[in-house]
Amino acid sequence: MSLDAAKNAYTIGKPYAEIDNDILSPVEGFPEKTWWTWFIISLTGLLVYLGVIGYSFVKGLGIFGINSPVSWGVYIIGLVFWLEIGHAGTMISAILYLFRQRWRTSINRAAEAMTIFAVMTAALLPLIHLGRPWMVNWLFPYPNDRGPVWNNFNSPLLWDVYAISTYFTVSLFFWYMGLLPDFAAMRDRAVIGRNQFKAKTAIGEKLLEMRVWLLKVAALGWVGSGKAWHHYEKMVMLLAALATPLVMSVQSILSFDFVTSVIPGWHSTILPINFITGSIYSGFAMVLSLVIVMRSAFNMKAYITDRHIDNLGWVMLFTGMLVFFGYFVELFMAYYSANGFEQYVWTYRFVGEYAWAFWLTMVTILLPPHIMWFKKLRNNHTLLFIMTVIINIGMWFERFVIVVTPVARDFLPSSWRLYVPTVWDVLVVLGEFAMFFTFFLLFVRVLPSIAFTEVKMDEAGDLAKGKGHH
Amino acid sequence: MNTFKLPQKMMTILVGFIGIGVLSMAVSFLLDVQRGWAGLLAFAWYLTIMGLAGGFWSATQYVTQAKWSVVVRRIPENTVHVLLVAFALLAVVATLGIGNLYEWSHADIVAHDVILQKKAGYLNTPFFWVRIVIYFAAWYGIGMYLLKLSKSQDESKDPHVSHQLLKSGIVYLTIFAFTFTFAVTDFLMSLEPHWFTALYPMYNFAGMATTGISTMIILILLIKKYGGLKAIGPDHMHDMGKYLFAFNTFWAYTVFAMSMLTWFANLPEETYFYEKRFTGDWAYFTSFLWFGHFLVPFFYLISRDTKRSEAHLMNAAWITAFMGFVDVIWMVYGAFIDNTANVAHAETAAHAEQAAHAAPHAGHFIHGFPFGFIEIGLFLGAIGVFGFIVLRAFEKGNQVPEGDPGLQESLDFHQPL
Repeated sequence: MSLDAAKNAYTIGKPYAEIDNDILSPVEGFPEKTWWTWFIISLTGLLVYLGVIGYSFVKGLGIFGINSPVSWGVYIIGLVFWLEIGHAGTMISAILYLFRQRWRTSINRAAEAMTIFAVMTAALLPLIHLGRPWMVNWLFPYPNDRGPVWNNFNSPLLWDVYAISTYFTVSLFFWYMGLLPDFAAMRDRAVIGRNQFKAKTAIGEKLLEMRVWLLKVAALGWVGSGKAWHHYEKMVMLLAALATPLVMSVQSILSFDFVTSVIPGWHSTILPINFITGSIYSGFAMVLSLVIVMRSAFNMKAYITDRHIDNLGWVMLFTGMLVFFGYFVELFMAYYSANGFEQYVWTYRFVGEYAWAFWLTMVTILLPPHIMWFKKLRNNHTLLFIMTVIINIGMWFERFVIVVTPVARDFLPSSWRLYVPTVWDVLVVLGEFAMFFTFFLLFVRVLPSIAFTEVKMDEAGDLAKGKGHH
Repeated sequence: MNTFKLPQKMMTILVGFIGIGVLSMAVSFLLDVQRGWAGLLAFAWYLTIMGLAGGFWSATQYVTQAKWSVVVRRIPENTVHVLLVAFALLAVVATLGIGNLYEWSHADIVAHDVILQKKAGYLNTPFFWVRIVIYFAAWYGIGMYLLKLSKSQDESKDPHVSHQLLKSGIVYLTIFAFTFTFAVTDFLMSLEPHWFTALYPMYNFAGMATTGISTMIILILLIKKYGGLKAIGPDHMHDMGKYLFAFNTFWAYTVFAMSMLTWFANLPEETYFYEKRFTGDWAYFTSFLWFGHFLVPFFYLISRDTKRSEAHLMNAAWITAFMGFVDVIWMVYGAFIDNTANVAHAETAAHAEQAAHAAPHAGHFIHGFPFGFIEIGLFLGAIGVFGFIVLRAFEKGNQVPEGDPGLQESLDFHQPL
């Protein structure tokens, strides 16, 4: 690419009204068959998932494959996997904001929505794994009559509770604040639409009435005055500055679940960093998958351009290499340590019962992003989509290897046991995906999946600087 | 050519700094040979990280095709010259000083030590020398290549050079990641050869970046004070301040992660690293490092006004540069703490064994408070060497990369509110 060719690649060059129409058409129109098909599949999956959860409450955790040394199984794998997916949303909305990367504007809304749904999916898993989820209130320190039973603040699992709930709150708030001007625009459109169009039935009329009312509430009386914008932008800046260390801390605390232990393979001080790089990696893979599908399904190629896809791909390549480097450092330190237990973890990963999972991980997460080096391959979006899906499958198995292998062969050979997932474990994993996609499919039909007010503001900035196409 | 020459007075001051450094080194060797060698290693390593940080930083700018930083680039690019001096000093340490500093270099000790025997495949003298040569050949070779390439653009104004810089930058960063990890393991971690932690290279990387950015800021502001580098305004320095703030915070993150996780898991073969550094006077020294390196610059730099004011940014940069040297001293001198008392008072046999591992070989102790006039002299000496070499090289070329296609954008750069 020549050095200046793509400078204005993000300028859309359409009238504002057309931008509104383009982005709101999936929200204001009636969904087509493809959407319904995927939605019904996901919803069915979600219902099955809820059924499995209910059954596990009645029958007990014995239906799953978890056992004495490997007591975490798919739950903690899923928790780590989904939280990592979620973190890319914050990376895009907060860190790229601080770096003034304006290409984030078209994708930040979808990425943040992905964060919210991924964190919800993740947070449900330890709840099932509690075994007695009706005692979940015991996790919170408040005056009670349970006598000496009190939170164990030494436990990183408890830190997780606070980290994840803080993270969820901040993400939700950030997301909602970003939606405010868009809600106001939708409200204004809906009010005008109410005067122009009538529904065919009385129920339809009521529903339209309700939609206007809901949008009015959601917009919180936003009028877009200069003062409101001034406060708004200050707040976005502050939230971005707060969310950035937050996302690092959540990922680090998640890794502390493992590193604070004395189990070789878990107690490796570089894991916090590896979790952060891994989270950017798998999260951006998920964003890329979603965005590639979304932009072709909803005709958003003018907004999410090839350049956006390219940028996301470069981030994947960079973080993919960091993940490789993290693995290399861990392996080198195990060699350097001259500690038989440390080294055994790796021998076991290379040739033990779970070697298939380890090598599957290595091949699926370390090789695919390198297609970015070749122009022909990186411009092929079908191939990029396949790459991101493969990477995310690989990242799931990476978590599997991290969570399962060190404890399956712990210090006491008499207690060595393998973790063999049962059909219920598999259903839980599929259910997580069903839950995530149900929410995401609802999101693209209910809320604007591109932050169109921000897009218009950038466009106005370009025109003011004389950089537009006109 | 748009060159700049620092007044002779400033150069004399820098030579004076070098003199103080040489004098401190000599005094240190006369008073205590062990402290002398440890000081020389710290001094040479500090020069190494300052020389490396410039190359690393400019490579990131080539690779991300950052435009704002074009005018800032010449000082970081020129830091590579320092690596020659650092290499010469480290070569002395690795030949004449190796017996005093590195326990694993003694065949008789290794013969009685199972762990060191297992590590002998990596930690042995010939391989150590080979590795040092490889590191410096790679760092200096690629660094000089990047500098030459970047300078060639001044005349040719060829935009394709930027693309070549991007490609070579990727190669540099990839090689840097691996060589730096090994170098930290070799020079610093193997001072206590029984000990290891996987985050240590990353911790040193954060320290390197913080120190490197600080020293770049010091030189840039010094040149600006005497009328050079007019193209760099408060907006560029603001971004340099942000870099300093970010890397310093990242340093604190790595310190916290490493120390907290070691403390929490409480494995005797790991904890002695910290136990030693919290015994006696060292408790004050460690606290001084953690507070001074992180908290003071953190609160100082958090304000936008500090980063945009030349005087304040200069203060902050001196603090972080100085604390960067304290950090190196903390790592190097810490290996030679007298912990005989810890061995005697260990609660269990396992602890006693580990504390014995922690003790330096053959009584190579460093007594007394680890930081005094000698170390302050060494710090000034290192800054003198660094400043003298980099400024001399800087004076020979253009002040800004005049042929870079991003130059105009860089000149026009303004911080958004």
